[in-house]
Amino acid sequence: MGKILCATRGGEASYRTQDQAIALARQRGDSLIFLYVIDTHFLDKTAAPIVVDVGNQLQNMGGFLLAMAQERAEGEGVPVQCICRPGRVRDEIKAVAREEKVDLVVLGRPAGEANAFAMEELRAFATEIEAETGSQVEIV
Amino acid sequence: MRQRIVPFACLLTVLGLALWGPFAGQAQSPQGDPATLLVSGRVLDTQAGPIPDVTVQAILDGKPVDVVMVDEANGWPTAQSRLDGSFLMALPLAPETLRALQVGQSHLVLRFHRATFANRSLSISPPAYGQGSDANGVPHTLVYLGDVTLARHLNPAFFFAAATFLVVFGLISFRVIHETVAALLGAVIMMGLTYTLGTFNDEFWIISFERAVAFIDFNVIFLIMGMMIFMAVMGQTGLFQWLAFRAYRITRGKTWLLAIALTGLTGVISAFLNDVTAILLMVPISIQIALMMRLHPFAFVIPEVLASNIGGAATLIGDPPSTIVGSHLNLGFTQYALNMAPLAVLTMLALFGLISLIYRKDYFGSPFRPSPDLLARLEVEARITDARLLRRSLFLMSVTLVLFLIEDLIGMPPSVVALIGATLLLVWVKPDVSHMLREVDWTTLVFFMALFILVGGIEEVGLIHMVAGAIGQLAGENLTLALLLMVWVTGVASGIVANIPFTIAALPVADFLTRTIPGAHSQVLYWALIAGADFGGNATYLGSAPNIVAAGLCDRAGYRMTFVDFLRVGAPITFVTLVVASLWLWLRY
Repeated sequence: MGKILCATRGGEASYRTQDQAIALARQRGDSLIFLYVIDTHFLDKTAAPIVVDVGNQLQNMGGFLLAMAQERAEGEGVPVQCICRPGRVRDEIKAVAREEKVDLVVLGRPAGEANAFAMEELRAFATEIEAETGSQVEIV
Repeated sequence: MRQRIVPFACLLTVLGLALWGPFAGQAQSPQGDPATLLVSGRVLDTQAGPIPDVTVQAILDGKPVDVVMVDEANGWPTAQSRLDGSFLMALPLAPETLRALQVGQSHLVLRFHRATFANRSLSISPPAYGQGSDANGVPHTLVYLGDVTLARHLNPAFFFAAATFLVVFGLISFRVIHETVAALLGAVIMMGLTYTLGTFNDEFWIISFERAVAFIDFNVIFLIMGMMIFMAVMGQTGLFQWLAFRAYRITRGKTWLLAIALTGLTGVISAFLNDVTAILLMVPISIQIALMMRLHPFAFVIPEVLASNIGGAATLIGDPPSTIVGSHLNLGFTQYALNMAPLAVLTMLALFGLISLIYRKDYFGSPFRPSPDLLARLEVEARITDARLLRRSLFLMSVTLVLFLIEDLIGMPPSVVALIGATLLLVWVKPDVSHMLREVDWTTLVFFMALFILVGGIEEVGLIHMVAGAIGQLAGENLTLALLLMVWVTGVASGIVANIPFTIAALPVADFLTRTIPGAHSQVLYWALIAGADFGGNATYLGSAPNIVAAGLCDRAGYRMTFVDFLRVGAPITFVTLVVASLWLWLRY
């Protein structure tokens, strides 16, 4: 049984990617890893008093979003592992792909201008993942 | 009547000073010097604001005269005016010289000079010389000049300071670089220019280090620091997440009631803790509750953000503009709350009505029954994590609030109250102190200090004076017009640019208008400034820090909040809340 990695958050765009990853896992008979990356860099330019453990808050929220994704996958009979860890999204996707010896990385296609990756940039990132981890990448 | 009393009072002050302090020794030594000439007065700008650090030089028959310094020794043979613009100088003259002055045979000229002001020379005519004596009966000759007005003068320093301020303001408002770095950069440019080009040519002199430090309001700095320590401890208890989940339980998942409860809770938390902290504590759990209920998270998050800005106006410690203005006015917690809390409550009620209308489809649709697993997970996450810590911090928070309530009676500054509470908390709770002090966000404190210096710079060169004059001309002597201008100009500006630097920059304008407009002594224009800054920050995504932080949190949950998403809800609500604020302030004051 191989492993498919799907980095996810929440929202409509993520649900579409999750569904595609779940369908691929079923089709290939692979297990699925959902990854949520705790990235607090959005606070870098704010001089407001950040005295709250934001990482912990985001870890709780990430855990909840992963639990939602897990419910969807298990509803389709796909075995799921969830990973929630801090860092930069790109770095952590590559790190988890290497650590878990992932066969396939599923990346969500940009949905309008709201997606963090423009399509061109996404393709370049896919090539980077393949080169650095040896995992295949599919843009869905 | 007042015009007669002021010179008389100043004359008494001159005599009083002559009897006391470092000067007294000089005036009386060894048996007193009957030929000492005392000259006093007050230097004001054209808006009747005091001008400190004005150099006063005495020229006798075309030659500089040595002056005995009465106040700080700032140079020889010149004297400088104090913070309140007053100055007192002593000219040790030979008795025959003094007699020559009194009969007009000699001529004394006082030359007033300060960078960014036009120089002024005053000729002292014989009738100005009066007589007085100290407690030992030693006679002195006195000249009381009254108010000496200096006009502003636009020089390169003005343009450099104005450009620096505008660039930094843009960098902060549009988050081009970290706000602290931007503010620090501005402060450093102003002081750097002062001590390089300004050293050789005072046309480039913006602000001295001493003046820069004097502009920092340390009451604000220590108040924020004390409350940060509180927040760091209380944030670890899980209280706010627990309250949010209780709200879900109590309202039995009825969406509208839950939205009102979460919005109200955020408003109350923001009144006592910093609004960004309230958002960081409330928004993640609210997003999860919304997703569990299959609602769009914005239906909870945006009202919470709006409530945090409104709730922050209720108390002196709720929001930086409140703290800054309250401290500027030397207001106690109770005095502040008596004036602003009713307005915040009224505005919060308006917010409840408006969000019920705007989000009616989300709030009044058929409720979704959440998955038991997700519900159980959320319940575990929203538990009190440290009950002992919570009990102790709540007890000390109550003690601190009581101290805040009685501080006016004992004359204790709010910053001291906050530091007492925070220190007691550190002593009693015994957390890892180095960890806890790391939790204090020093970048914020540096940001505030640099901002005070930056605004001090533009005040020194006369930019704020110019803006105040323009607004003053626009308002004339009409208090209602000034009130509306203050609420709406501040409100609109705070929706576009960062409201903290705007508030600091607008304070001297409020000072000027309060001084010059009849009836403004009720401090209504300051309340208008707070209302405009706090409520106006709700108009756009960029208006205040909680908005940005909430948008970042939503983005981490996969819901990107665009400028338009926020504007669609924020702008109409800001409009209504500013109308409510204008009406309330107009009716009450």
